[in-house]
Amino acid sequence: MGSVLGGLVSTVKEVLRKSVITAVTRVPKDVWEALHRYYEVESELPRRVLEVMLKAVYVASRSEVPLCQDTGIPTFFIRLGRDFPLSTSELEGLIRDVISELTSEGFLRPNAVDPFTNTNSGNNLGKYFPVIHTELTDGDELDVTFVAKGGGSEYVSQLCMVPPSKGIEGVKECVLKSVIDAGPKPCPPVIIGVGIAGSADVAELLSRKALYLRRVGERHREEYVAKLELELLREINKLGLGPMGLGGLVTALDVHVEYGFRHPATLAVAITYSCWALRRSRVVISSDGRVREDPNDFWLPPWLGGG
Amino acid sequence: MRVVKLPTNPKVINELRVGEVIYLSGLVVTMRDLGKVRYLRMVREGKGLPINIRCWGVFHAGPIVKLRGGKYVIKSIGPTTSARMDHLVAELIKAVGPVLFIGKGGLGELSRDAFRRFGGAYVELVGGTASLITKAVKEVVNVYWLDLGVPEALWVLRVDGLGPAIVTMDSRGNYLRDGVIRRAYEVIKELIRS
Repeated sequence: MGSVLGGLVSTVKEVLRKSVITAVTRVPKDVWEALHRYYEVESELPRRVLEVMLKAVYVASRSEVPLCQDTGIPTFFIRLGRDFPLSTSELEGLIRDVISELTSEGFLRPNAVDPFTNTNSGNNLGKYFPVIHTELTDGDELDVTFVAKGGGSEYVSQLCMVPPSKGIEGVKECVLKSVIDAGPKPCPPVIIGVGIAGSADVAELLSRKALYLRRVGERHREEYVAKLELELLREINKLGLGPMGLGGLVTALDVHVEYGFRHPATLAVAITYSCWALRRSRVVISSDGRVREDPNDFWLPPWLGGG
Repeated sequence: MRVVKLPTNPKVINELRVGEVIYLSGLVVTMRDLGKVRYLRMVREGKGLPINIRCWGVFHAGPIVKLRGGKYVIKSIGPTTSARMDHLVAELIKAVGPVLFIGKGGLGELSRDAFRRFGGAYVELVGGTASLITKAVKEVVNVYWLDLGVPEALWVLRVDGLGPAIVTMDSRGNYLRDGVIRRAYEVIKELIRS
């Protein structure tokens, strides 16, 4: 039994390593396709900017050089089956080992800084660093989504406590104003997660789930929410900030909204941004050691124009 | 394709104009938030500085670095958000004169005012394209202030053809985004009213 478990531990570790390296050296297919669609319709400077982005993705994936030097705050969203033979603390230990190893190997920049002393820990480990969200689920599978959450896009995160009387119009106003305030800082075209709830903490968490767990073009299953997402996307792109905020047709590639119920007195809206270079990978491991990589994330981006 | 050799002189920096797309060759030094704070403090205290950044290219960047055979090698480097350091850029310009800042994500009113009064310019690289930008870095010439951590240290780099670098703020106080931002505010007024 010990060696069977040992085998699974080394599988999980290998899978985590590959997931992180894959994520930081490309963008997922859904993001690439959205960028490419706009590359084909933009002109002049915005087109040139998108061209440089798409070329950088290709080169990063082939040379295994991090696409962006800021590999961000390593962030994990985990769904851990109750019958999967690893505990949350064992899994977190493995994650910390992998993050520290990949930092010394030059795949991740050491980004964990003590806010009081400004000392960089040098290995990407620190209090609440990396960020690990774990949910327990039924079944025997381990489902891991990794995101390299860059600091430039994190810097413009926003929380609005909207007067409930303003309703969804108030939500829209908050999102649109936040996009203008963010301007060129988060490296547009951005992908936006919006969380709506009664309390600030739930709104924040939902905005991250919306951003990290949904794919570009994937609409919310409820019609009202899906409609709001499309309205927000259309209006954000009307702002005309464009790639790197230098003007153009595309300011956001997509907007994802998740919600929970509110309190009569509160309407909390959290907005989380990803730069165009959304670096994500999702993989599912069964307790028998079977590994299923999401083909949308584990892929080789083509040179411009496909092929 | 215009190449600007660095370090340079005030004339070359001050004659750059917004909208120009250039490439950079020669020496640049990385410096971000904490590096600038320390640099300014040392200027104020009259302490000896590791380099005089007047007429240098100051790169808003924090690289990923590997030590290979006793030499530092840049594994990945690219621009960080300059807007965060607007006040520090303005103070540096006041302290040393013209500098060519290299970053992304724009600069604000304090830098614009300092460039106009004391000279200086700002070029932007495309954020998130470190895999391409790193190819332009030929050598790590020196490193100072590693005690600030790898991203914040001052990395002196020899670069060749670093770009495309878009001039977005110049010594006349022009900012390439002025029109884009003005239009965005007009649009949002319409959207929120309706």
